[in-house]
Amino acid sequence: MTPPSVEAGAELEPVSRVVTLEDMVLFEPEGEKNIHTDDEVARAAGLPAAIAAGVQFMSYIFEMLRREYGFRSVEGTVLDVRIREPVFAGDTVTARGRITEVQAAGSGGRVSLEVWCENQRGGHVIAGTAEVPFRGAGEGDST
Amino acid sequence: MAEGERQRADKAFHELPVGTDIGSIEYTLSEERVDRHLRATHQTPYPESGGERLAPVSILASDGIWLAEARFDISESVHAGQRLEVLSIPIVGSRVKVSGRVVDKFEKGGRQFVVMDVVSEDDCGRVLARGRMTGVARYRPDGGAP
Repeated sequence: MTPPSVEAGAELEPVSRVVTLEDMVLFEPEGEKNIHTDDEVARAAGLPAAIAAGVQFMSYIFEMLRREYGFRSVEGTVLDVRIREPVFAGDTVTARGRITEVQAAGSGGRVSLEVWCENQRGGHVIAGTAEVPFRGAGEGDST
Repeated sequence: MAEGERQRADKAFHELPVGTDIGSIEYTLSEERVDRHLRATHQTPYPESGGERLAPVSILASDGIWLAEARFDISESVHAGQRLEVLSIPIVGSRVKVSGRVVDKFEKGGRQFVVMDVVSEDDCGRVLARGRMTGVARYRPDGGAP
């Protein structure tokens, strides 16, 4: 098992996804027609096309954190983000994170991170911070 | 998504006074709902724990939206920000109760923002998550009134 990153300045392994309209429709309740699933509804609301829900690509950040620190670490995680740019079908969204501070406690502790998702043009579509509890190597899980 | 008919309120979402209790909704965290979320977000399922299937915590991030949507027409609203504190991993098959309150409103760039505090609890009495969701009440690219 690879020990989790717990050094200030370290970057986490990114998680990248191509957002498809199918994903956007699946993310909404079945049969829902709204700005996240339908271009016409989105245009009526002043958007150029349907946009992915912000919480959809927030999940990429959770996936990145979980891969690094294990699924048990999500209990106690605090994610605080702002949505900056819309994401459209076909965009590639990559979740990234950089450790800003480490507070060790026993064999574990808590890491603070800058987290963001960027699109294929390098624009930050969502950005903010995360605080994640971690356990020492061998005490966590890698799933 | 809230179960049952969507209630229509007398006031638009952004007209609610700060402090307004939005009430609560309940839903079942069904296998189907979780599978749909996992497929939409391409996440790896969490391992089982104690013989129970766990749901990814990202599924809780939408709870405030479902709550607002259950009571108001927010079809032209967009999500501007979110703080989510995860306290417990949800268990597939459990009932989730979501309650919320309007805690702030402000205007920026000609757009009206509404801030809600949201709490999600399961039917075992565990608090799953506490969130603070900021939304643009009605999105217009020119920042003006619709």
